[in-house]
Amino acid sequence: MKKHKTAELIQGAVELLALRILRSGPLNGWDIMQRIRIVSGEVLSVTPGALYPALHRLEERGLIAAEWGASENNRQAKFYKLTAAGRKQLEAERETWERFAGAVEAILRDA
Amino acid sequence: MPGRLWRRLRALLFKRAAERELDAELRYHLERETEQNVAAGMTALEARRAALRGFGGVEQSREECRDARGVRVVEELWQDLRYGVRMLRKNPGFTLVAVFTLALGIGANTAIFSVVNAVLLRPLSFANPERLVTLWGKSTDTGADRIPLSYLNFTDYKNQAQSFEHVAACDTSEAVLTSPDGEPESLNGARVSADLFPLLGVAPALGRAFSAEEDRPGGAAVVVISHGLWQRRFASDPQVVGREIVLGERSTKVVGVMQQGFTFPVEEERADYWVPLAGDPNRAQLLSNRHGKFLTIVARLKPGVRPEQAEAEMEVIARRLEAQYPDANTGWRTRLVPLQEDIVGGVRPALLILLGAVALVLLIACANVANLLLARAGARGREIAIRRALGAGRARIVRQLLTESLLLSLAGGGLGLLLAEWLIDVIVAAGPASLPRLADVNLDAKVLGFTLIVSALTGLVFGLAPAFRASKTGLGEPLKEGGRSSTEGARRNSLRGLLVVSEVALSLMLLVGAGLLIKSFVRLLRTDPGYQTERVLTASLSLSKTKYPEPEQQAAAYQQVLRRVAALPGVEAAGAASLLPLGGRDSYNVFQIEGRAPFAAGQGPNVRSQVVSPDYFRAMGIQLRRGRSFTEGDTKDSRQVVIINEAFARRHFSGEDPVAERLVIGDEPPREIVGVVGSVRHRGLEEEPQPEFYVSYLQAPRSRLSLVVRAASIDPAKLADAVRGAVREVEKDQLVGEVRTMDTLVAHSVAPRRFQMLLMGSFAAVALLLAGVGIYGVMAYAVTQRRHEIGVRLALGAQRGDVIRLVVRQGMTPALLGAGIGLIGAFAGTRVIESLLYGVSAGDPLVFAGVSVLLLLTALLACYLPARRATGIDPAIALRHE
Repeated sequence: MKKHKTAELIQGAVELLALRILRSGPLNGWDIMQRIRIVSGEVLSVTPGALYPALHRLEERGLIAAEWGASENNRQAKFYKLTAAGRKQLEAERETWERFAGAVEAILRDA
Repeated sequence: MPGRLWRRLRALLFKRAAERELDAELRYHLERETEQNVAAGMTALEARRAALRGFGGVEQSREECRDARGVRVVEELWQDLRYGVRMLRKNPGFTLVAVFTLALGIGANTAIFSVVNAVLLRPLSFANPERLVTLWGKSTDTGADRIPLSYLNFTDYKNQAQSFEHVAACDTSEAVLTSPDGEPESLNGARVSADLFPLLGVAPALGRAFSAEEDRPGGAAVVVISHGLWQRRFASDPQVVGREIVLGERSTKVVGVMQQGFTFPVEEERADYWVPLAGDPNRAQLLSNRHGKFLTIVARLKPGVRPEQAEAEMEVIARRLEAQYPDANTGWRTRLVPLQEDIVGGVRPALLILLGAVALVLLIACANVANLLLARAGARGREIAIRRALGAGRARIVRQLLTESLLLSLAGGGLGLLLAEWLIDVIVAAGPASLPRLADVNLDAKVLGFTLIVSALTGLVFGLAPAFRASKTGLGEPLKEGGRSSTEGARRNSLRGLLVVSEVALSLMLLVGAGLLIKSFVRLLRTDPGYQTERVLTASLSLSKTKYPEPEQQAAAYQQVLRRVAALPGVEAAGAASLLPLGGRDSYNVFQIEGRAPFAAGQGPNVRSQVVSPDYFRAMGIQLRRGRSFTEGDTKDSRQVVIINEAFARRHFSGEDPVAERLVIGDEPPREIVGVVGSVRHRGLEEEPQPEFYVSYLQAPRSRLSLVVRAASIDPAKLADAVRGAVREVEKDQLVGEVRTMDTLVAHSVAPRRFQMLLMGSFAAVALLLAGVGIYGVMAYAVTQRRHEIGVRLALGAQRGDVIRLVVRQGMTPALLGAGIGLIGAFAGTRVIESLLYGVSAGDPLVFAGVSVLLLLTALLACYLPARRATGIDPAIALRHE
């Protein structure tokens, strides 16, 4: 039971991060992974095994849309972009996250 | 949403394409990763390996991506279905028993539901049927609330009411069709006001309906005939409109032919024709009498008017009419009933009870199949354990087992439909004529939907518990046991015991219901109707009023007929009456008793009256209690006399001798009471005897009487031709109406009860059988499970009796518990059935005790058979199998 819950938390975080990264424009899976690593200053790294199922789940929920296009070196790759619903979801989850993080920080500081 | 649906559909239909896409996506990632690694200075091989390592299980990710798409469920369902079909085919015995059991339950439910659907649920086949209502008279005195209206009151309501679009009146009618050529034929029809057809929103298929002018005193004689009559008597002649026919001795013009399937009144078995209500000059007097209550009123509410509003308006009009015509309308109100409710309301309780009963049968069938599944789950323990060990989750196992039970129940449902089709034929053929709309019973889309839903629910009900139980199979146990079946878990046994308990409890409730109905029926048949039905033949006669216009002529003709019939060989007595028990229309009269204070206006009792011949009482077997019967000497010119029945004497002459008292009936001169006869249950065996009086046909001649012939010793039906011959000797063109024995009339009158009883009885019998088979199955399985133990006991010196006791006790404990619960349930539930009972209390101890014994004996037998087999176990063999 416990294991299951932790997995979900990680899963949720990956999805949130993917949504945030995609806000700047369409990207393929590999790019998303690189960006997360670079933007977080190499602190966070997402494995492909967690990222791709997350992307497929987001697509299934209609939060992102996929289409095939040419990548930088002219190969076919699957690009994901944020949908309107995804944008809304990102805002909502971001708020939730900030409240959560703020609360944790408050406790760490004062308690 | 559509995008999502499309993705799913695509993923499902183009599974390969979706897989390829996924492959390509992941491959691209690996390639980029590898390139990056090469750029960082690895060799191509190292770079590739590192990329794969970094991915962390490509196959698993792929699986997870597939999961994310939600296609899995469908794919697995397909897998389960194929697997299920394979499993069911591998065990044909189990599958057949389960499917047949379910087909029995589902088929019976489908059949009864299709009756409920056609009779109760399906709206009437008229335009906007929800706005159709009937209007009945309601007496504030007696509380009687289904009393027809008089013509004058009908027209007053019709003209004053604002709530209705149309108001129409309807009266049943019978007439002889003598022309066109062919045998004269007695027809059933209706007199209806011209508004009826537009009110119902129906138009004739050929020709037209009546005009308002034709529905007026002195209007032209016109008729609209039914589609059936048109086919039967007019060979579907399209030129029939405009033809003159002779109907009820009146030359009548056919103006229209109704559409096929149209009947009105709906509850009548058959209507051959419709004539205008007010046109017949012979009925002018009846129509102008505000006391003559004989019309059924139908009305269509204006759109948006609620029935309560209309009822309130009727109340106002009723009070106005009461003030205006206190003589006829004092204490009279009206009651509004939706037309459909009016037609089917009376049969609703019985039908719903039958539906409930048949649902219980299905539950018992479910218990049986659940039990079979449990036994099989035991046998499949190994298979399930292996699947669990290979990583199938519990939910997955439950889903797969449920798929199998759904397959079973759907197969049962399919077979059940065939059974239902046959059952419906039987029910429609055997159903009582008093069950309205019975001919409309069929398997329509609603019924098919019902069957589908019931089948699916059934699959869940009987499949859920065994599936959960089976999925709990511990990982190791069955594997460790190496397939040897030893004593199984106590839990599974307790679930089996629970099934026996519920089967017995449900069957007992059904049996109590059936027992009560059977006892009611027997009571009813044993009720003394006040006459003797054996060896009595009846035949209705209607003399031509053109040939016999004068009352004296009519009386003389009947006198002739009766003399000839009485003289026929094999005839013991011949009489005639205006109204036969269990048949025809009642006629009521108001009366005063001479020398007593008159009944107040509108308060005088209405008493059923009959015109009879002197020998009627003897022919019908009605007992003379006091005074004398009529004689041939009581004629028009002698003293006017009347005979009353015991109920009349008790009500109005309690304690005194009524003979020689005088009654004033209507406006006639007084009649002297010369005799008292036993009371007759006129309208049915269930009716309490009502006050009645009889007048001799010689003093009050009628053109229409029914002959009552008592045969000496032979089957009365054999006299039919002789009686017809005797009538024709007197009047060669005379049509003799329906010839029926009194026994047939009684059988007809008890047909609804018989129908309920037979259906309920069959359900109970099926329940008993299923319960017996179910218990037998449980016990037979238990014995197999305990083979080893029983072998040991026998080896250690246990006697046959000990073993039998052991097994029987195991089976009878839950059976007794079930019987106890069933008795409590039956006690609680009998209130439901109370309205269908006659002469039996809902808690009848004899019925309760009787069915309990029957059920427990069945259970005992079902336990005893496997127990006896257990004693045949050879200890040596049972132990060697270790």
